[in-house]
Amino acid sequence: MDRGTTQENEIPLLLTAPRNQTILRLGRNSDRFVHVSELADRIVTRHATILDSDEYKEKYERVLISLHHNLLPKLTETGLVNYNYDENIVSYRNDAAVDAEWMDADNIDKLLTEVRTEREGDTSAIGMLEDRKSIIEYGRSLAYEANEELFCMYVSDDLLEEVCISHAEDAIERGVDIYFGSQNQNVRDIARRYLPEATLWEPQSNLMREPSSYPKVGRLVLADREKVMLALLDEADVNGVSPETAMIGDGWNNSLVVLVRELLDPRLDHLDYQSEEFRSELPF
Amino acid sequence: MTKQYLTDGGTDFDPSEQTHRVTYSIEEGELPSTTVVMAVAAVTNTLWVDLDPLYVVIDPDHLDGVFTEANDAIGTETSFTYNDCDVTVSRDEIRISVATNDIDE
Repeated sequence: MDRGTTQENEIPLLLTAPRNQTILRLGRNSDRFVHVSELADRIVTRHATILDSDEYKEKYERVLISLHHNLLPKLTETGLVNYNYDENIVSYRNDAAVDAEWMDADNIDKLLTEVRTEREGDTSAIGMLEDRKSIIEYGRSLAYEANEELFCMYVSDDLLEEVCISHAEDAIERGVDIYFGSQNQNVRDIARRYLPEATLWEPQSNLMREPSSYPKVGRLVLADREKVMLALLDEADVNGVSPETAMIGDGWNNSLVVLVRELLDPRLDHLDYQSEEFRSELPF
Repeated sequence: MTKQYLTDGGTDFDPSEQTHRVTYSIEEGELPSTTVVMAVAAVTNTLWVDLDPLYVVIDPDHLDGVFTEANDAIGTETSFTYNDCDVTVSRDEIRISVATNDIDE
């Protein structure tokens, strides 16, 4: 059987498989080298549910076999990780390289082409916003239009204008559940002070880490899981201002919305675990 | 789980052929690829993570795909060599034969 190397068009599929995302995410939150047994343990225990020792052992063995014999050799062919199967050590490419690849606009386009489905109408259309004013305005309209849920991630408090907070307050008054994520302490402090009703959390993913390389996702707003704005920050210009551009998508089946839902899937699930009521109101 | 795969390495020994043959049934709900790994590890007294990845010789997803798709797989067999073992996978069992001098004691 000639398997050759992984075809380029298979890479987006590999990347969207939840377990592969977990492998990459866990790796990027850790040292650059991880023993396969450590990785298996993290995958089995990642939701921190209580397992008795038999359950743990069975899951752990399956995950370990799957990692060593299938997933890691496959991911190695993509170049995203390198698995030395004699030593059982997984090494990750440095964060910057992986992040840049993930967030590079061309690659996002490529991913979108892969997930784009043949749907009627304009649901696959992706709009571009090319200046900060339009981005803030669109964020405002998303907050305004949200009926049930508003999911926001901000990379730094520079982006969190007062006007954003007031629109979030309005949404809360209308009964919208707000989830506010940031690794930036200032963002969480501001949100805690002004939006006490919002659910705050600190994303464990590097997706929203403060930028060390560009382009980088600066803010992400997902309304009712069917409208999205994904804003990219570029390197600061001579005035110290980072140019910002955003992609927007509208509709449950819109390619960008589908992609963002897939990328956020583990986090959305985690929120669902936290709130049964929340889960029951959403169609999945 | 692991227990059923343990072998003393001698029950099916045939001195005239110098090969050791073992058959494992694929338990319900078990993937063929997982059973291959467990079986070859047991026959050769090797830890799972010390075997070369199965992916080096066959894509486990493809292997599982062949035998999990409806009735098409009845009568189908796939053979390959893995870790010095001749492995034949069918819908419900895995046959392994290995030269006895390849078994690590």
